[in-house]
Amino acid sequence: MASSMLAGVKILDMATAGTGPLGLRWMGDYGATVIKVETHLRLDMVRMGGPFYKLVTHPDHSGWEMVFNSSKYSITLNLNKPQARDLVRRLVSEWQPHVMAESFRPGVMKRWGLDYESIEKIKPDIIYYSTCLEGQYGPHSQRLGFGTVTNSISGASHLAGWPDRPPAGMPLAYADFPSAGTGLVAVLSALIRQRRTGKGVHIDQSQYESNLYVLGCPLMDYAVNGRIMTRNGNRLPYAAPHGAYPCMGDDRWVAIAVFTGEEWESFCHVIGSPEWTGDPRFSTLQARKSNEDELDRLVGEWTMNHTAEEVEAMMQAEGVAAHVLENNMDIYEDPQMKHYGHFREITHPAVGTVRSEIPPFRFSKSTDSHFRAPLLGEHNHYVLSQFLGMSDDEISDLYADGVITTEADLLSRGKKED
Amino acid sequence: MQEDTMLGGYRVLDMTEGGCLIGGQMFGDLGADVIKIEPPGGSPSRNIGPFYKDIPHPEKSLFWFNYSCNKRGITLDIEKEDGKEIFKRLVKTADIVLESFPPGYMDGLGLGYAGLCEVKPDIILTSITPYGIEGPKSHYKASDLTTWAASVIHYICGDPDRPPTWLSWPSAGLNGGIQGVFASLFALWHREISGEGQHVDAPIQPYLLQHTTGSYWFWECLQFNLPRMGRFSRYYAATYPYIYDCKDGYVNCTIGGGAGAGVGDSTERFVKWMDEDGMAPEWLKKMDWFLGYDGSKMTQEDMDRILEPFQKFLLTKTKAELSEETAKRSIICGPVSDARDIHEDHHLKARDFWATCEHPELDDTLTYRGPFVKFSQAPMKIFRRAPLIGEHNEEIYEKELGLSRQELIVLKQGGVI
Repeated sequence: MASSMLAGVKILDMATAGTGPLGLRWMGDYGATVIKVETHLRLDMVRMGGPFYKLVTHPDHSGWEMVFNSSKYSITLNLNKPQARDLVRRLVSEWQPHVMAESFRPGVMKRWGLDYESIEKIKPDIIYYSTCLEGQYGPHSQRLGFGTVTNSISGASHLAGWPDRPPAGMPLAYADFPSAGTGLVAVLSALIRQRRTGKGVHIDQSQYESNLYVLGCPLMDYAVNGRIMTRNGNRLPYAAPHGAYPCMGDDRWVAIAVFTGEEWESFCHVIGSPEWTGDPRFSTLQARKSNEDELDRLVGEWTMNHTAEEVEAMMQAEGVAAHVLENNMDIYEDPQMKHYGHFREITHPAVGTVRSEIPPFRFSKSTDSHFRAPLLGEHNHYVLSQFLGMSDDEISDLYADGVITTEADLLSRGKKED
Repeated sequence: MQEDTMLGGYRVLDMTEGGCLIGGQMFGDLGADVIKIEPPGGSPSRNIGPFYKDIPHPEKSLFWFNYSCNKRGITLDIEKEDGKEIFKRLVKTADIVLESFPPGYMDGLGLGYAGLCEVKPDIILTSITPYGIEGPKSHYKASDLTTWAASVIHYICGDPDRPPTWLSWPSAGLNGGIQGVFASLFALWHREISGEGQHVDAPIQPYLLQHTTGSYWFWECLQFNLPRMGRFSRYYAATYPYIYDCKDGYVNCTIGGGAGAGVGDSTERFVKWMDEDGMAPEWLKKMDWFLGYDGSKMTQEDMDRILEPFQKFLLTKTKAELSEETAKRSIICGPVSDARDIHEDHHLKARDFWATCEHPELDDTLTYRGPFVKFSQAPMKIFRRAPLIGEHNEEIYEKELGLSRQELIVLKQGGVI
């Protein structure tokens, strides 16, 4: 049964990769109807990047597809054809989506006559959500990139790693997610305003700028104090011990963070109050910061003799913040994640049983109606017949004219760019 | 504010601390009337640096400035009976209460969801917590670092020969604050339709987990526990960098191919640029980046050989040169920027990204980052700087709630405000 929370909200998702699609997926999880416009001719990174279930390299076997595009309907169009673009316009004028999203390089949608100005003529109150690397205009607006590039231009990569070495950077597409979250805030706010006032808006999201907004403070530190903040392992200027410490086993670590004098006392008690904890070199915060290399070494010598789980439990029992650095296997067994049923087993026609993910946030009265990610083009017939009232013959013609793409088109995809 | 804003007319009581403060600020940016409630004497978040001109003072915290714009500020001790009464009066006027206290804290004061419903049946209470408002870890002591660790994002980051590293600007609370906002907006939409409020549970751990780009899906799909690889990535058998050395620093590039996602197109354009400088060997120019490139079948030798000319070329260019040219040529590349690089980026200036805000008590005007998105209507901006301690006590307690000056004096001395 569909969640009633966002029932009736309609979204046309023409975005790719992570940022736009993720927030829209959560809206789908809570009952909005989300139609995703895909194509066999040029696969979304999410469809072709994997990880592929059991190494079957096929767009329906992609794990990322399940992360970003669950709870959506998939249609597949060849947008190079004018008829396909007309179909999009028909969806806007007849289906009347509240929100339309896209993540093409600036200029592409305009060339196709599907930009905000064109769509607004069809539906004046449209919320048109454009998201891309550096925004809709500006000298670098044509920069191509994924979240990995955003990590770097937004300053996150520089701030990750050790001070005595080149940056380690943030892995995969970290920066896609502050963008996804802030973008979702923008879309939902616009939706609420649209309902109240009948007004739409063009949302120009530069993923670069969204990340700068969240990082914020290091930028102010430079503007005000002329200081360039840099990476410093796992340290924090006003806490010690504060770091990731090695534990028993292969590549096992525990994070420990001690802020107050009281927490320090508790920490010492947990580790059995060895002699070194009484040394004046560690008795105050200042002293611990001055001798932090030695402190970290001594803490590590203790943690090495315990499992990460033991350290976490012992520290938590005495009110000290500590947690295992969970790896990719641990998270599925995490009792807190299990309590919330975060990983939910579902059946998917291509891969069988899979542990999909429900939204990370929940409500006391509203429930989710998360459903499996679509196969590529699974809903062409459904959407065109149900939402546009097209007949079987009309739909067949679209296939015949190559307006709708099919699996056969997967073989001919190649370099032809927008 | 009579201006057209996204959320003008809604009121949010902001009881967040630390990075979660960004949540209250985003509501303020969107035009909501945000009242930040601080304990008497000021929020502990005012002790977080960096500080204005390195003066450690609760009215000079750049952390406070940067995450508490667009809020009015009052002081209130909700642990005292007088404080609870005043808080309830404010709740009656509010649409959303946003908080990041340890689970159970507000319930213990009779100010949890049930208690607030008695005051305002359609209230939306959004609780941002490290692990959740219930469950085996809900009582856990937590910090940005330990919440980061619980979310896999820590494990998969850093150089392989040293411990995993986090993002050195603490971001668990910040990201958690963002989730608090959009989760509240889901509930607000629901309330607009149904008239019902509800309790929103916005735990940070599963939300931060998303920031791994689903790294754990490699375990689900392939029984592969993705390890940290620092500035490298791996395509099945071959490891390759994504952060490359350039003449004066580092750049982030994606070089490769295969059909779709534009990587092959980008690499073709990259080779063309290298050729203009005479740095593209013949064999490289002949490569078919689409059907002739399959990263899943490459050996380490193949990969190293292909990347060598690119690495040589990058070492001849500065960050700035690379940033300009790759943007123009739509090559997947960007500088590894620090705060200075970002401030000097002429693209941001062309977009009027930077904002300024006056701080009369500092006799200074400070530069702030711009809004998180640009709206074509009802734009966001800095309407007001972060509040001073108790700055709006008079405005809200006297003018709005009708308390008398004498009452305020008693409450101040009683430690209530």
